[in-house]
Amino acid sequence: MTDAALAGELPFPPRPDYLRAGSTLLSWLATTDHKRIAILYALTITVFFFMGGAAITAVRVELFVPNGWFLTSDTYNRLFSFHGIIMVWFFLVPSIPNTFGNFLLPLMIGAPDVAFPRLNLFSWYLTLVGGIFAVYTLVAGGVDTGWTFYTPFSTMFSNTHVLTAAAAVFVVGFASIATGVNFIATTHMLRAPGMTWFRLPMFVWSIYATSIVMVLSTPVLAISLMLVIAERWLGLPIFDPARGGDPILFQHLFWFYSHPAVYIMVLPAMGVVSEIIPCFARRRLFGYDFMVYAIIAIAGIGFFVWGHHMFVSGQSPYASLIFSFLSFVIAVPSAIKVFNWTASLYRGQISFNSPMIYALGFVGLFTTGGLSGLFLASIPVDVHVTDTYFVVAHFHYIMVGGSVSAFFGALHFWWPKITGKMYPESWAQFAAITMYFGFNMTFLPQFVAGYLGMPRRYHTYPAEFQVYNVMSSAGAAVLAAAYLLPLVYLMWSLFHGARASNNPWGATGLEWTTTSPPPPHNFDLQPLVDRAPYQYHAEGESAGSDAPEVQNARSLR
Amino acid sequence: MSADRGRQEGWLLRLWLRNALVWAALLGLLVLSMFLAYIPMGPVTVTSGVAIAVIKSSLVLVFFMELIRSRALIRIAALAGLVFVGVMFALTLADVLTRSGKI
Repeated sequence: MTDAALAGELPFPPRPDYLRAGSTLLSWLATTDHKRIAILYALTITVFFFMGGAAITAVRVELFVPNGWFLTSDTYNRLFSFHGIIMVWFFLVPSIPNTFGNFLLPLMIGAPDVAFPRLNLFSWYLTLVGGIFAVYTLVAGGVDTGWTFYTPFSTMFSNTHVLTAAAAVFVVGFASIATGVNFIATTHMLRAPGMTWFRLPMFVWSIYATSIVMVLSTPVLAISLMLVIAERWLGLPIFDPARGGDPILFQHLFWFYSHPAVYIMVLPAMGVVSEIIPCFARRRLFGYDFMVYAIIAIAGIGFFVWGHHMFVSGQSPYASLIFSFLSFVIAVPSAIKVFNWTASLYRGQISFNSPMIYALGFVGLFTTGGLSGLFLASIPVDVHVTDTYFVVAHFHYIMVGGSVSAFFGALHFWWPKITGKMYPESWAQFAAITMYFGFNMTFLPQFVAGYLGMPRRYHTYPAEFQVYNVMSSAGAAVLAAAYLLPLVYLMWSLFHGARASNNPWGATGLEWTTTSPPPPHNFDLQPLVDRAPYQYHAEGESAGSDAPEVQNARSLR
Repeated sequence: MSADRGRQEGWLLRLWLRNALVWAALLGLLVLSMFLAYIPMGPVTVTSGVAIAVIKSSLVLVFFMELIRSRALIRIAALAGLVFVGVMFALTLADVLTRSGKI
């Protein structure tokens, strides 16, 4: 990919980058610059991440011993519910799309901004309003339904703040929809000349696929929560079987959103990893076309598998068979991606910079989470481990081991572009490795405890499970330290870090052709694209056959 | 200049008139569905309700969302929404219609 700037042109007059293009509070709160909105999102979700983390820290302290020494059962229920609601809707769903997607999508396609900049800012304000509802719920006493709001408990029996919790999720759902519409329109309408669909970086494809899932599925979540509210407060007979309702209908509606929501959380992570691995292996992405097809397939098939969450709900065995089969099917495109990332390393010149460590960690943890998902797609195994810690471990491997690792990988990969500063690489590598081991120490024992029958969502448990819980709680402490470390050295780098060049990693991609940090409208000249992405070496040759200036690009920073 | 303004005003008037007619049709269908809900017709009650809902949503799609004048890409996007709603209903009914004792 090339910028249209020609050698010999007069230099442009000095202009401030997007961080210095206004320093008042209003210049941030009323900005329509996608990069500033990305920063606003990053700050917001960081606050929510640590709030959700604080809640689960209390839960892990409680589970250190079997007899419930620290919290009452009610408080415990409210804390894990708050953790789930905050982490799913206020961290994981907006994490990569609304921060890195916002920052990078226009840069990667050569656009000056997103298609609807004001809608973009409105979406952030909606997230804030939803967050205020969520925090109010906690302050007012919390909600104890879990993040799933299952009926009839949420509609008939819970005496906690279901309305405000549901309102929080309802409002933030509209933020998701607005962002999804914006990204779809941006990808369709604002690509630079020459940026054809099959020249798009995988990160753009992943954000595009994620946006489609957001737009198609999130309205169903809004409807489900409205129905809960309608039954709970207006007394309408929707889910109450005594009045002709069907409580399992709620689960169908909820999981029609919430299973695709898993892909809202993990598809952008896949996009991040697809950018990092070729860069630090100096290899073209293996099977680019199939990577695109696989990501679209995952987004599509993700809508067909929700019933595997309901094998023990009373769902008909015939429906369970269909959902089981479809759940196995979605493993195929996921496997294509894992194999292709691995194949992209073959004959590469691999360097283990911190983004690469996070990316490789993602591949391992996502694979473990995905393979344990196959266990859960199998009805006999699922019946045995439903509502046990096996399920908790499985989805944390995907959402935390996968998505959060990729989030940190993205943070380290694009930090020089976002801030114009380099961070201390040794500390970053240390944090990445600590995160990997802390994560496994936390969640690997939960597979065993769950398989042996320890149920989730109880604050007391038989003493035989204590060893697994002690390992988990100790691992959580390591994991918490690994999450806090980047906060410290990245903040340090803002003030004391070395200045980053435009392309410190020698990466391909339009975002690396502009300055670090970029100017307010991204490019001084309209970029023109004349080649496919990831051209780290000549076609049909290994990475070692490149010209020295390409091979040594990383040492030129 | 005044001819242009006249054409624009005529177009706006037709737009308002068309939307008012569609709106009136939607309200009429709403009243009809409420009326039919009180007539004991067995399974036909539900069927009539669903049929009216389909007609109402079609009116919204075709006229209010202006699919009648949209490009093919926009129509495909709208169709995608319909397909996925279809998936939701079909797989949910795969459960509801085959629970114990129903087949």
